[in-house]
Amino acid sequence: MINRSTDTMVSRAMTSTLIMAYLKGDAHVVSCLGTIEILCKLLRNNFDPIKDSLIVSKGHASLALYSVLLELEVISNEQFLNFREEKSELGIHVSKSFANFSKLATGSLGHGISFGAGIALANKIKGTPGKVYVIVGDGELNEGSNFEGLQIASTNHLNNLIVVVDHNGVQSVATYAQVSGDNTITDKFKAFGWNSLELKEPLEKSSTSFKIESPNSKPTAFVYFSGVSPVIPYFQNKVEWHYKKPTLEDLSFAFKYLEPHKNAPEYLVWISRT
Amino acid sequence: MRRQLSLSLIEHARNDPTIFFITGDLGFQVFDGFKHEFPERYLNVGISEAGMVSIGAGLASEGFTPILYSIASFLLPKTYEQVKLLSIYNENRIILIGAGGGLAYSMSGPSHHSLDDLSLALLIPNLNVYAPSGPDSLKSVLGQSLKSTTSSYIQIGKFGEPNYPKESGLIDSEIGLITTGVIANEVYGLSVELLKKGYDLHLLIVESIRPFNQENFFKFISNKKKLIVIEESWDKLSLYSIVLEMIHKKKLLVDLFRIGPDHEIMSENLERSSRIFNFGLNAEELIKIIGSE
Repeated sequence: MINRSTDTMVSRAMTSTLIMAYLKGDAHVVSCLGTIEILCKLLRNNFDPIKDSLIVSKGHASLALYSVLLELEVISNEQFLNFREEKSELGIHVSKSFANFSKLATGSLGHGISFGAGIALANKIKGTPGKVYVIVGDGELNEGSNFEGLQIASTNHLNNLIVVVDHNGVQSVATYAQVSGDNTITDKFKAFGWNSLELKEPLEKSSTSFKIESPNSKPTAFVYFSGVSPVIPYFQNKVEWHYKKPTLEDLSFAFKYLEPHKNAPEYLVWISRT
Repeated sequence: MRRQLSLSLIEHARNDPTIFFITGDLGFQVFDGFKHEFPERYLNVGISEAGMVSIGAGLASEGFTPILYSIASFLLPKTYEQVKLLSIYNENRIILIGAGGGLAYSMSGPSHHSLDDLSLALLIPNLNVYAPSGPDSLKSVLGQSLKSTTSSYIQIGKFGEPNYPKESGLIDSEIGLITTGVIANEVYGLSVELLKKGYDLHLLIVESIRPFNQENFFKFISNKKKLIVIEESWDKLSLYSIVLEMIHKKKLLVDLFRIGPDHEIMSENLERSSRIFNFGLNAEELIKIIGSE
């Protein structure tokens, strides 16, 4: 399964997310795209599912997580196609049915960093090596609860806590800049005593593996500008794609970039057979 | 009660390596003993109640038993969602301790009055809710909360509360008094005074509001014609509403009275003793209710 390139994995997971958004609705397309890139890069490279923990704090990007876990065969085709159905464990917001790949059921924003700090602290006390990765949205950082977490993590030297911000530049009903002002996200993390790095090139092409060159006692934030180098410009940087359900026409625009005919996820074949 | 809390925590922590105490920058000198003996299991997260509950839930997910301490007026009102989602929905067991419940900080103003913490706690499903009345009672509910598989909220008082019997007065009396939490101090004192004056009454002090011991309550109320609920909280989801629910459930015929604060913000500076006198917790009012037809 893992023989595919990260590029291909991203493209397949985005295809899955868009197809599911088209079929079932209730998906936040633009919130999922950057998060898919982050998840593919992270889970392919340096995430140890036995020792490490993952929290997708931006719970509305659930399809991003489910689509990538489908790629990793943590989720089956049947489970994936059951998204948003009654009694499915794949709800509209992230559920916690996937062991260390999803340590917290989310949906309300602003909880992942502090909760992740708790796991990171537990690992420190126990002397276990696991790292805690928390993926948050840029708009999510409006929530004040995050900043309590940033302070606690910094004061307690939780250098095993890594936050990745999906900085797609759009929020629910406005752009990030309109709502959140000119202060950069990286400066906010730095002000709380974190290592804070910007990632501006597409993650598939980037050499980052969410590790810093010279580890120190600080927790680390990576701010990924997912809106700057969009994989699918048709959706990205557009506020309306927080809510809109894609049509077949929308999908055809997206597929120009994703080329699913080259890398079709198996369930498409599976659907056609069943 | 805070002294007892500190001692009991040390005792439990000696036998249970998962116990982890977190304070939201409160409890000056009270937990020095714990901090001295278990420095690696003591954390002051600063004035960040929401962060405290979240980090506690994270620790719980890794097998710790976090005891989270703040002032009652701040704890649940500031962390309602964290408790509901990170602890209960995500099944991470924590123990929340709100100190100075009710009107313990009466003169500090409405910011420090805690007349809604029990209501907020009762609103959250599957959360145990305790309001001990004295040190022994606190010891007992702390033990219960540590044995429970789900999270708990414990409202405690300040310092120096004595111990009270859970039941007192005359079992055969047709007049029942029921109360919970620190106000048991005043209620017990008044009940003793009235008994001496020749009034017969039967007092039940409840320390566990949820789970509520229904069997004990129905036994207590079985021969009562009048029941007076005395509480130091608003009446919107409280001991009073639970008693109403119980009476409704069994369709009991009993005259029900409530002595407690009105559902309002109290901005006037008054001592706790004045407030509880004013809302009717005094011998004269009690005698009036007991003697009423």
